[in-house]
Amino acid sequence: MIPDSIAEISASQVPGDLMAILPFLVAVAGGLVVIIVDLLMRPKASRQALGILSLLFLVLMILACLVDVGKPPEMAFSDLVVADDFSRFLGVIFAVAAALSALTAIGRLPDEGAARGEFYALLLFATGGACLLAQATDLISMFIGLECLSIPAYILAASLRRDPRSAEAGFKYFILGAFATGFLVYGIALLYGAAGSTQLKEIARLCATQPWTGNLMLIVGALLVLVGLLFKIAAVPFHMWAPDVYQGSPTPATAFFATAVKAAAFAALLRVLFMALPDMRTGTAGYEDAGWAGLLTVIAILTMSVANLIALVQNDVKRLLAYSSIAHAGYLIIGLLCNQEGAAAILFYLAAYTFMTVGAFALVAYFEHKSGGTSMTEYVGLGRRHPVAAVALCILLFSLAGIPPTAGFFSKFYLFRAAVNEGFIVLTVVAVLNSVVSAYYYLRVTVAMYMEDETQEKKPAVKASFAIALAVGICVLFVLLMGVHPTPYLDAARSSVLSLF
Amino acid sequence: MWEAIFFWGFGGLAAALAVLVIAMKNPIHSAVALIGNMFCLAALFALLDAHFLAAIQVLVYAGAIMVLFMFVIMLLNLKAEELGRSRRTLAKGLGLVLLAWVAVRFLAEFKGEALALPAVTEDYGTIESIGRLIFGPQILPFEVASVLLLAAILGAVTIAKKRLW
Repeated sequence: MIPDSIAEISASQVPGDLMAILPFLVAVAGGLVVIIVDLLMRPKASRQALGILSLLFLVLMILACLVDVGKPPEMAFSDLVVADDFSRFLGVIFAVAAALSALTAIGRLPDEGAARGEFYALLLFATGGACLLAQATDLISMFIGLECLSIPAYILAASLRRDPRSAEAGFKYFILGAFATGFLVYGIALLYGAAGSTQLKEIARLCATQPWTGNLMLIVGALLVLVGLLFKIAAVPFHMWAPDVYQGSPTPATAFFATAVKAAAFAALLRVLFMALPDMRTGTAGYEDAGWAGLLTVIAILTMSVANLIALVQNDVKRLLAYSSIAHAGYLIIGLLCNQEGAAAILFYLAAYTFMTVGAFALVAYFEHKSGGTSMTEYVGLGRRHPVAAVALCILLFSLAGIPPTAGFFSKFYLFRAAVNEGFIVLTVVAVLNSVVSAYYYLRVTVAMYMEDETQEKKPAVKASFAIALAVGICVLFVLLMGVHPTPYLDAARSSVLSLF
Repeated sequence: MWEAIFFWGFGGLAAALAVLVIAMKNPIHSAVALIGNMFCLAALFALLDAHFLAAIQVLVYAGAIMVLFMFVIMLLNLKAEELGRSRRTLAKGLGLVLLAWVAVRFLAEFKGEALALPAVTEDYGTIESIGRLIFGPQILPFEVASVLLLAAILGAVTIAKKRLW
C-alpha cells in the first residue's frame, strides 16, 4: 500500500519509533504502575512489594535492551534519538544500577521514614531519562533526557523527610544542578547559533568544513556544554556538590547517583565529543593543545589528584566513597581522550564500576545503624561481628583500588593500555600513581574492620536483610567474574562503541 | 535599522535588569526586575517574528509564574536584618574583572558572520506552525516533558506534604 499523505507516512513510522525507545517506555510505564499501585495499597502497609514491582520492570528493561543487541543503528523520531548497541549497553548498566539500588532500598528504607512508593517511581523515571540521554543524537533530546534524569534525582536526594542533611543534599543538588543546566542550555543555544541545527552530525559537519579556531560562538558553546556535562560527572573543579550530596542522601539513592547518573553523563560526553566535536579534539598547527584533548587532560589530572588527596583524610566511609567516585570519574576522563579503544575501555570500566560502587554503598547501608552512623569508628571490629559482609566489603574495596583478580584491575588495565597506545605517557603515570594513593584509603577501611581493637562496648549485630544480601552477592559475583574472565564483557564494549565512530 | 535599535535597546535593558535581579538586596525588588527582564525577552521574541512565543512569555512567565514568586516572597516576609549584609567584595571584584575580560575578548573577536539559516516562512511563529513542529518532528521532547513534570509534581508532594501516611 502506498501512503498518500505525509501524515500517513509519519503515522506508519510511529510503531518503529516507539520500538527504538522501548527501554525508556518500559521504565516510565514501570514508574506509572508503581504510583498507581501505591495509591491502591493501605497507607500504613509496607512498600516492599512496590520495590519488587519496580525490580520486575527493570528486569524487563534489561531484556528490552538485550533483545536487539547486534542490530544496526536505527534512527527514530526524526533523527532525535538512535537505538544502537552503545545505548543498549548503557541501558543495561542503568537498569542494573537502578535494580541494585532498589534492592538496597527494599532492605534499608523501611526503617528510615523515607518517602516510600515514590522512591521507586522516581528511580524508574530517572532510569528512563538516563536511557533517553544515552540514545540522544540531538542536543534537544539530550537536554530533555538529562533533565528527566536529574529532576527525579534531586527529589531522591531529599527523600529522607526527617533528616535535615537529606534536605540539604537535595537542595544543594537542585540549586547547583540547575545552575549547571543553565550553562548547558546556553551552550546548546550557542551551538545552534553556530551550526544552524541542534543535530550532533550537523555540528560535526560544520567543524569539518571550516576551521573552528576562529569561530568564537562554536568554541564558547562547546565549552559551556562541556561544563554542564562535567558538572554531572563531578569532575574537578565542578565537584564541590558531590561529597555533601552523596553523604546526605539516603544510601540507596547515593548508589544510584554514583553509578547510573555518572554513566549517563559519560554517555552524553562520548556522544557530544565523538559525534559532534571530533574535529575540535586538537587545535590547528602550532596550537595542538588548544582543543578539548588538552582541556580534558588537565581536568583528568586535577580530578584524580584532588579527589584522592582529599579522600585520604576522610573519616566517614560514605564520604570517602563519594571522593572515590570523583576520583574514578577522573580515570574515566582519560578514556575520552583515547578514541575507539578508550571508549570501549570506558564502557567496560562503567560496567565494573557500577557493580563495585553499588555493592560498597549497599554494604554501607547495611552497616548503617538507625543513628545513621557511617564513620570509620563504626567499622572497627566488623570483621568479627559480620564476617561474611566484611569479606564482601573487602573484595569490593580491593576492586575499587584496582587489585587483581577483580574487575577493578582489568577496567584500569584496559583504560591505561588505551592511554599508553595513544601516547599519553605522563597522564598514565599520574593515573597509576593516583591509584596507588587510593589503595591507602581503601585499605584503611579494611584495617579498621580487621586489625583495630574494639574500644567501645560491644554492639549488637545488625539484622541481616535478604534484599541487601542479594544485591551485595550479585555485585561481588560480577566483580569476581569480570576480574577472572573479562574478555566477553570487553568484546561487548568494543562492539558497542562502533556506532560512535 | 529599526530592528537593530530595538534589539540593542531591549537586549541591553534585559541584561541590565538581569544584573539587578541578583544585585538587589530586597527580594521584591529582584522579582520586579525579573518581571521587567521577561517583558524584554518577550520583545526580543517578537523581533524574531516569534509572536506566539512572545505572547506566551508574557502570559506564563511575566504573568503566572512571577505572580507566584511574589506571593511566596510576600508570605515569607523577610525582614531587613534577616537579609544579611553583602559580603565577599573580593569575589565580586574578581568576577567583574573576569566578566570585563570575557566581554572585551568576545567583542574583539566575534565576527558576526551571517549564518545560512532557512528564510522565515509566511506562517513562521504562528500557533499552527508551532503546533505542527511540536506534534510532528519534536513530538518526543514534548511528550518526555510530561514525564518530567510528573516527576516534579511527585517531588513537590513528597517533599512538602506534612503527612504522607
